[in-house]
Amino acid sequence: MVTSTESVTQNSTARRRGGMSAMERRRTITAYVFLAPAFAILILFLFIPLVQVVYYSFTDYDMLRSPHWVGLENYQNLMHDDLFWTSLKRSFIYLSVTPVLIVLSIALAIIVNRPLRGVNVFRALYYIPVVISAVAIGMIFNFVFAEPAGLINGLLRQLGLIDTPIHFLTDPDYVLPSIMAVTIWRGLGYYMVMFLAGLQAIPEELYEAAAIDGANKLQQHLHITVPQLRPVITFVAVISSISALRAFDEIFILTDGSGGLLDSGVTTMFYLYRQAFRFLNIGYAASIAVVFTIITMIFSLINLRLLEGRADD
Amino acid sequence: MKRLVITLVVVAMLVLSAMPSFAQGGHRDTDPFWNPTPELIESWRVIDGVEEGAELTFWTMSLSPTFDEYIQKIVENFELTYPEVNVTWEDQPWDALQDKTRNAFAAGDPPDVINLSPAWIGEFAEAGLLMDMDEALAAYPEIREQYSDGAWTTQTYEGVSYQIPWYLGLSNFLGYNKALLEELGLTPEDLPTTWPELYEFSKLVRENSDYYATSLNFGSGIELNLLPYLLYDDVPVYNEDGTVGLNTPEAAEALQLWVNLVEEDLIPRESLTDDHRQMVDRFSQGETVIIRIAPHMLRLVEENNPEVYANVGVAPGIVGTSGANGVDVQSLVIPKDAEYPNAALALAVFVTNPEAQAAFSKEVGIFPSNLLSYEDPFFQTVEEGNPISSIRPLAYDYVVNAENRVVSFPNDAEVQQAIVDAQNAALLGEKTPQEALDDLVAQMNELIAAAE
Repeated sequence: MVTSTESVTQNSTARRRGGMSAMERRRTITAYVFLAPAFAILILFLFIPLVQVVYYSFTDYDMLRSPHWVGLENYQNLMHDDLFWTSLKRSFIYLSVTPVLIVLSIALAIIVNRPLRGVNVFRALYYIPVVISAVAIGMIFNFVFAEPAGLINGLLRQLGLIDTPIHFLTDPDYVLPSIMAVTIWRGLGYYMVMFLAGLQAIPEELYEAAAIDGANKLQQHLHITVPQLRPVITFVAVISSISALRAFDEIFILTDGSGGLLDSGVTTMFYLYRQAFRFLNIGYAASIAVVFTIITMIFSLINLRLLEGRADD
Repeated sequence: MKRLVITLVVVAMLVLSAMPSFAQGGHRDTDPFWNPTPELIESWRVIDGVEEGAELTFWTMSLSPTFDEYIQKIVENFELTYPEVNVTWEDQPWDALQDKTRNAFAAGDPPDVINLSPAWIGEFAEAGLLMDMDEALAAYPEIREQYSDGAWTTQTYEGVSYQIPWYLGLSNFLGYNKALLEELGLTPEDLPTTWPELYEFSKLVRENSDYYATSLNFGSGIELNLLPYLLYDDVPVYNEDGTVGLNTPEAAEALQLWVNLVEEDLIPRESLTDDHRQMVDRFSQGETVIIRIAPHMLRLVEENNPEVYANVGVAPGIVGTSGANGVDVQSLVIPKDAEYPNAALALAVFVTNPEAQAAFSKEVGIFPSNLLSYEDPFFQTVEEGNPISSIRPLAYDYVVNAENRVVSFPNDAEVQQAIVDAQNAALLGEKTPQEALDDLVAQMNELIAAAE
């Protein structure tokens, strides 16, 4: 015969064995039920397309006809595709916007972190480029870069600094730097806000103590602001690097979808777009996507390790 | 009161911007398309075997809301002609239509009649998705004869036409600024009609003023494109052995002319990347003396700068050594596996019938692909202060003599990219014209062979 004590003991044993009481089990199930819709969406719109892309990378597929299995042929062609490697080089050149963005955003954040009258207006103004539509940006910079008398060329000629206009978008050597400048212009406000939040978390006493010790403003920023902002810098460095590697909007808009004269603005993302949506080489584009994703992940990991390593130092 | 005035101004602007610039007003009262008689409706019924109970979907490109009444009248008249068929009209924005069509085919549910740009037809034809129109109208030779041959063959694939031409833009005209011409001491008789004449004219204008004779819309090679330029200069596409033959000395000479225009600053450098709209903007601002333009696009000049528009004249355009003109066509295609093929064909033929197309020309400054439309007296009328009307009497000859010389290639999108790259390499001095063409031909032969 089982006594009540033995019954309780048996139940406790069962809980230890199974790990969960009925209430805990109910809570767990409830949590999974609430997670399920989001997970279903992730499966439908992320994981399944991911698997499809990997599958398509092993096929010859043009969307209009069924995929045809070709094995590693797309990857083999990719290894010998000069334009792919050139576009990859350009994508890494594009990464140079990251340090520029970090330095300028920190400087801007420091400037707007002062308790000045009307500073909120400036904060809003610096953020406006972030929310401007891509079409508007195209129109704006068509005027800014226009030759011979766009905003920049006109001003420089009025000041007598140049005789002939700068060919921002009509000289292949200037196309990519011009587009990168637009990316920096667009991103400044976004990252400024992040650094501003970081700045406002730095205790004022640190600056006061440094001032008492005789540190000037520059020394205070170098030895207090920058170290204190290191977590934010790490975060911004990682996300802005990934954004730079994936740059597409500005390239498409400023080159009217052509990628620039002599493909001078073609980065890997743009090349992927061209292969997929202009040439309908979906399979080949998928192989570019897979290779580029792996490269981006490796780069991001290295980036993170380096930055975190410096932080530990 | 102030708010009422502002509201009325805004409404007026909305109404005016929705009105076609060249609408004649009042023509609908007497036009047979808008007031069809039973006999006319009967005469419109030309296709046999139209499926009973057919439900058709008809896609057009960026015609709504400006031409809502016209297209709705098309549908109404068609359903009067073929009462057994029901049509649903859907207008698609031009910049999304190609992708939407691809997706529709991929999903196995394309519309029954689709208005496409001819440049997009090749990829669907290559995939075997479109109805062969040569074959479809072989049983109706009297209908096929109505269409301009140049428009019918505007975009063939392997020698076959997969489209029925709808409305045309007669793009090879010159708009000229009379005031600037007078300022330079020139007359319309001095205007160029060939590319070498354009080169000389450009030099003359630059030497005697700060103006440019013209700007061009190379559009990074996508708009003013090397292939049609060479083909209308009598450069053959293929050699006798079937390989691509675009690298003749004559072709190099023709390309050198464009290079000279850029290198000698005879056209604005931004011509390298300008699209058509930007070229129109330059002309509207009085920067250039002439513009290569389809006359119906002069409405953009009118919108930009009425003062310049008031001084615009229209003259024959620049032609190659062939003397031939192409036409800009808007096409109608039908899926090969359409559920109601005869009904779809009936709709496409109806949309392009003489009365329907003549009526469309009275709504806006485009021209019919159906040669019978030109029997309407409208095409002989010229109006004071309306530059586009001056070409109406010329339109029939232009259309009937139009030649299409542009072909589609297998792997067409990649071939076109190779052409763009070759053009830009020459224009930017990266390669000589001959080098650029030699490399292009090698690449094209490779791409075509890979597709086969």
